[in-house]
Amino acid sequence: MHSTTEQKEYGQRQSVPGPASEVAMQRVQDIFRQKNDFLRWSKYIENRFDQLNNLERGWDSYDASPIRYTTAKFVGDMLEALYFDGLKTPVIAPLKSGGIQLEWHRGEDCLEIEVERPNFANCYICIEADDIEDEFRIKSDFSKIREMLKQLM
Amino acid sequence: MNNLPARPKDLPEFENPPLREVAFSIQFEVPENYHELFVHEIWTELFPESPPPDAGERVLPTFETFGASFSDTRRNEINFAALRGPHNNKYTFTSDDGESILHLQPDRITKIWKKQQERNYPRFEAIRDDFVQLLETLESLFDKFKIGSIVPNQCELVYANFLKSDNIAKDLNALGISTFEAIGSIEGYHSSFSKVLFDEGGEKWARLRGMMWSTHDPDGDQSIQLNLAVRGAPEDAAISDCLQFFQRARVEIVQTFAHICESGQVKLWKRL
Repeated sequence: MHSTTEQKEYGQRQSVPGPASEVAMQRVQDIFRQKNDFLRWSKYIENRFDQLNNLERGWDSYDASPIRYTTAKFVGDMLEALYFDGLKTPVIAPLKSGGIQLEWHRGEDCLEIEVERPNFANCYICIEADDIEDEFRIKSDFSKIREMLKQLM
Repeated sequence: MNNLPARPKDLPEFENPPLREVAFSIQFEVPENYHELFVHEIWTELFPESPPPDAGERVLPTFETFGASFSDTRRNEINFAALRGPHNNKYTFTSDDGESILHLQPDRITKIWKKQQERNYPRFEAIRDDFVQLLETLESLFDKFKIGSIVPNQCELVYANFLKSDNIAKDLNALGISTFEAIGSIEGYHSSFSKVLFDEGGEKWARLRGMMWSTHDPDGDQSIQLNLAVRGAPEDAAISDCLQFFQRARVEIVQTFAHICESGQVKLWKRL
């Protein structure tokens, strides 16, 4: 049971927030903003996957394969692993093999990932200002790409 | 499949481990010409004496990935429900004695050994060899009916242990898990952990996940269930790479089990 004085002091603390509560409030707002950013980001990806899903065999007027479900699921898991606050949505394009290509651009700089199938992706990165140009293969560890994307954003 | 490795000599061994289930699972690309009618062929070829398989909801493909800042905090939030996946079912074939279970769906095959009454654990090698035989038959059926080939993209090995426990708090203490004994009688317990596994070259090859919770075992006795699972991609997309994966995963699981259960209970299972 609080004394009257304690209740009054408590009430005063409630009505005049101190620095600690401002920090806490800011933190809560950041969490909500980050969550909303991620939802917007993932919604774009879901919509794009829906579009790719409608591609029939021969969508390129030749003999291109439809997008394979397991490859799309792998790319989804990859994108979730790559995500950080501030990551832009990639350009998501179909490959005629049934794979998926991801691209991020900043002016002339770019990072491209061609996912042929799960655990089999080729990456290309070019950041002129840092004199970076590299091509490499990745399997299921996306740490290197994530760091490069942070450099690119 | 010849020359499958024997048990490593330095691996901890228990006379009567508290294992109730061991599951080998391979996830693969949906073979190009897979059709649900093919399940009938599997039934007549592999389980001619067994009743028809049970149909259930298929398991969605999943991939162990590395490089996220928090490996487990954001998983499967991108909704794939609308995507055109294989709409087929998962079929479950169960042997007459209930000890051997096979789950089959277009992109996954799982072989489960399930302990029955007083029968002893037949050991990893025996279950693996059964699984290999099954895969060989399946591959030859795929070949015969021109279904396509099995191209693995993910493997998983799971050990489910039930540690009988009259007093959860006391036994958790004995396992060095916590100090709940000081609190008194606790009603329930749940914990989990994960660990990234690195190969000799420093590459991440799999993730080990452990879960421990209070429950009742299949006999109805109060127990602590300890599940240890290793999941990841095989070195390359071949069945032989999956077998190599299972071999390494088994070593990780047995060593982790031995570390967790080093004290107290280990005496019950007679470490050899």
